[in-house]
Amino acid sequence: MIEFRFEEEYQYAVHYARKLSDAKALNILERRAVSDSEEAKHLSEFFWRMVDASIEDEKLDIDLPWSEGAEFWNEKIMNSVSGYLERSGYEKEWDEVLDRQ
Amino acid sequence: MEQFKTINDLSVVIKECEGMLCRPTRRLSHPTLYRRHDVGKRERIVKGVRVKDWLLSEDGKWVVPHEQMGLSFSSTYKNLKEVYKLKEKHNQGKSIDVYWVLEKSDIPPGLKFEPDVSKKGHFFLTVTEPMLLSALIAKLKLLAHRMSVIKDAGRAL
Repeated sequence: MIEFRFEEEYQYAVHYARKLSDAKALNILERRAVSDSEEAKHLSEFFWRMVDASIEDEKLDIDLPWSEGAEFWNEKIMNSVSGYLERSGYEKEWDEVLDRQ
Repeated sequence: MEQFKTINDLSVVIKECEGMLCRPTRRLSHPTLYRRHDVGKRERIVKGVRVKDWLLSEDGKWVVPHEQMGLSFSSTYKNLKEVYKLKEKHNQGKSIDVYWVLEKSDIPPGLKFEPDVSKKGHFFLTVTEPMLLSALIAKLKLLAHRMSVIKDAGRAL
């Protein structure tokens, strides 16, 4: 299970899965788990798309429901998601996507 | 400890220096305290301490020990690379430096590094005893003075 330290991490990630119309990521987040390598790669790619989208939102001064900024939540979610993928045997999938950033 | 001014391979340095804890920091920002431009516009900081990082008493004056709350540091090249890349994206066009400290020798009393139980290579700098927020701020300033810096570490990452 993806263990989010703050419930806001989950809400933030779901917000961006919906905003990016990423049904697969939304499904993974709702299950808080991936079922195979392909989903692990998709979750990793979604994470970095979410980062880029949140940076654009901050540039456009779009208010989000959380007091903390995008960098704070993105770092928290990165630790939660990458920690989960490493524990679940999908470190390679996370690393490959990371190296493309 | 040798002061690293330039390095060719940061991963080798980190592997060789057991107990080296790193914190990527935007150029001209402080390594242990936040300035207004470092955080979201509605984010709560008190004299450089980001409120959400720590467990505070109800009146906000005391910092309460919590093994999984505090300031984030990286103990591995891999975790450092992740945090560095994220920080680079959030600070496009700005230089990112890496501040580092030795876990065993450079930490003011009342502070301690605790590993994140759910993320390899990620540590929290925590408080070991209840302390006034003003005392934490003084200790974070002292720690910052003891930290060394690798400028523009991106070339090595």
